[in-house]
Amino acid sequence: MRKFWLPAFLLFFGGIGAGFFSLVLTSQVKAPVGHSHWLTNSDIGTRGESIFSRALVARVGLYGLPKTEVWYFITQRDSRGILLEAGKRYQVRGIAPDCAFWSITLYDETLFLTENSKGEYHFNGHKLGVRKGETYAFVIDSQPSAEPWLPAPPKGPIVLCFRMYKPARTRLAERLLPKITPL
Amino acid sequence: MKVVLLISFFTLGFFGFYTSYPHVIQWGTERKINPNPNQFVHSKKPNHRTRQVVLPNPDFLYSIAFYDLRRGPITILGEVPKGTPYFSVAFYQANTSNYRVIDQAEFPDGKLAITLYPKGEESSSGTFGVASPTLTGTLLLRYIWKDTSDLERIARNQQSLSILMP
Repeated sequence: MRKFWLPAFLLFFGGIGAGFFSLVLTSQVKAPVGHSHWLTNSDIGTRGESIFSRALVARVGLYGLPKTEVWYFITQRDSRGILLEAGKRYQVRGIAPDCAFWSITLYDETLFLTENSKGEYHFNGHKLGVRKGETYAFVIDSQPSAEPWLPAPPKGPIVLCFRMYKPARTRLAERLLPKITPL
Repeated sequence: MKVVLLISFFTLGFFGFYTSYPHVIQWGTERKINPNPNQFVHSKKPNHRTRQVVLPNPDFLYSIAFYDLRRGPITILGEVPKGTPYFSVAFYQANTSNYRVIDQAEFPDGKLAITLYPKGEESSSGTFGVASPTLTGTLLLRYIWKDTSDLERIARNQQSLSILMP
């Protein structure tokens, strides 16, 4: 009897461990948009989401809203596919989307806001003074800049999240997403 | 047969982990924010010290309540902010899955009055009814702010919130 239950218990806890590590290693929300490095997960906030997607959302996007309310995009990479890193200088450039409200927020690798002297963590259409269809640009840098400037921490990986609230009935397309260019 | 049974133990552990993980996160979040059910907690402007939930959105002020319907339906009352580009009340079941979002367009008179009741029981209060698939869950109100002048007005909206219990 013991010959059965001991491996059974070990395999049970092995299964828990395999689940834990597969969730930790799945550090990204699902699919890339077009050829960009922006990722999105259309399952967020839907009742049809799988147990895997629900666990992932609980880990990296707890209490997210469904895509009828908001489109979430997240990236750890610039437009060339290289990991974003604080201490480097980037330009973020895009076209203001057609939606009720949009914003781009900078996070550290733990997905929390980063401490900075300016006390600013994001840009939105209101702060940048742009209306839908107009081009916007700002820089991400650890050092102050004369241009619209989003302060980054001195070092470490950074993550950007782009949110569009109540998006107009348009197809999700790569052109809606800002380009991140190292300077 | 023995091998199949052993594999099923591994599968049970694997799927059991994924199924229970959101419940554990929900439990931990409740403990961190407010372990008392049916009470609102209001956030200040998110900053780098905001660590309760990942990806805090600095555009928003939040009001959150962890509800418990075991004693019966609850009624959420309050004021909806005027002229805001976005305000919503989102409902999440015990496994953190969203099952309903109501935005400001559904409250044209500016008064928030929602009865939350367990699915299968009818709401008879005459207010806007929402059926919860689980007896416990989360209510999350999002208030967008654009200028610092909005913060005081939103704080008044948040203070107007209450939950009536049976």
